[in-house]
Amino acid sequence: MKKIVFAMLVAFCGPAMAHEMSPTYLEFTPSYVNDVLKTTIEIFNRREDVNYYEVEVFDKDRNLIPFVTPAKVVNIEYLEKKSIDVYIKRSDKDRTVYVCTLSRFIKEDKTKTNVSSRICSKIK
Amino acid sequence: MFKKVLILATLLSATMAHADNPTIRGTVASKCSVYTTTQGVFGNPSPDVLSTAPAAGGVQPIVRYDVAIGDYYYGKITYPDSFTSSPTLTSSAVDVSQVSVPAMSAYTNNVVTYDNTFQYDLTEAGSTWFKVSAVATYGYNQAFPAGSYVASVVAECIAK
Repeated sequence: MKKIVFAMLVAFCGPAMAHEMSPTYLEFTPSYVNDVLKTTIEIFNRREDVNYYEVEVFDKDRNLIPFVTPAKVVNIEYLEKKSIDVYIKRSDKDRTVYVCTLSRFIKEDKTKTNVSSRICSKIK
Repeated sequence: MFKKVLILATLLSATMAHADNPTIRGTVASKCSVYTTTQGVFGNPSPDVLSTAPAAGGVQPIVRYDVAIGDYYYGKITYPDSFTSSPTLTSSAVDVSQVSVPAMSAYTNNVVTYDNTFQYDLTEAGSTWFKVSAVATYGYNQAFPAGSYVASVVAECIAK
């Protein structure tokens, strides 16, 4: 039994890489600009193979909604945590449902099949 | 004598009063994390096939979802239907298709599929592994040009 447990531990001790985003549910609040709402998301990059994350804002049917962030594609180094402010127009508030972050790869000569991760928080 | 003892006892028991503002600290951590456990590799068992199947010399990408609380997220895995990077292909008859996404958990039969996406209702807290397969063929009897081929699997965690 001990051998099986040890074998399982060894088998699952691979270099796992994670994409984390919080909070799960967001709320847009008034910003310092008239008719512009703001929310803040936090990304924690535990993916060694990814240094860039793209911010996306969607409606319920996953159609893109215009938004503003300091940078649409954000550079986040491995094990770095970054807070990002997302701004939308007040008129888009009711149809905005998801704020997502998508991992982005640099196009280069790779032979691997990449796994892109996207995490979406919902507007409550 | 009794008075002296009483004064001494009073002085000894008199300590400084402290005022403090106890703080309560907390951290809101991500409730759903997407881990790339294994990146996939295309094997090239024959000139017109690229496959992640181990039998074809490939490696299947494995994605792990860690959900801290159940019933708050959907897990969506989209397999590739084209290459994100490849040599110039003369034929448009490239078909990159997923074969199976066997969830290593109770979700095996609890899946909604549409287009090239598998959607799971992540009702259980804990870790779940998903394995993705992809096979690409290049027309009838046509060999893939030499070079590197990259396709992307998208693993999503969407709040309910």
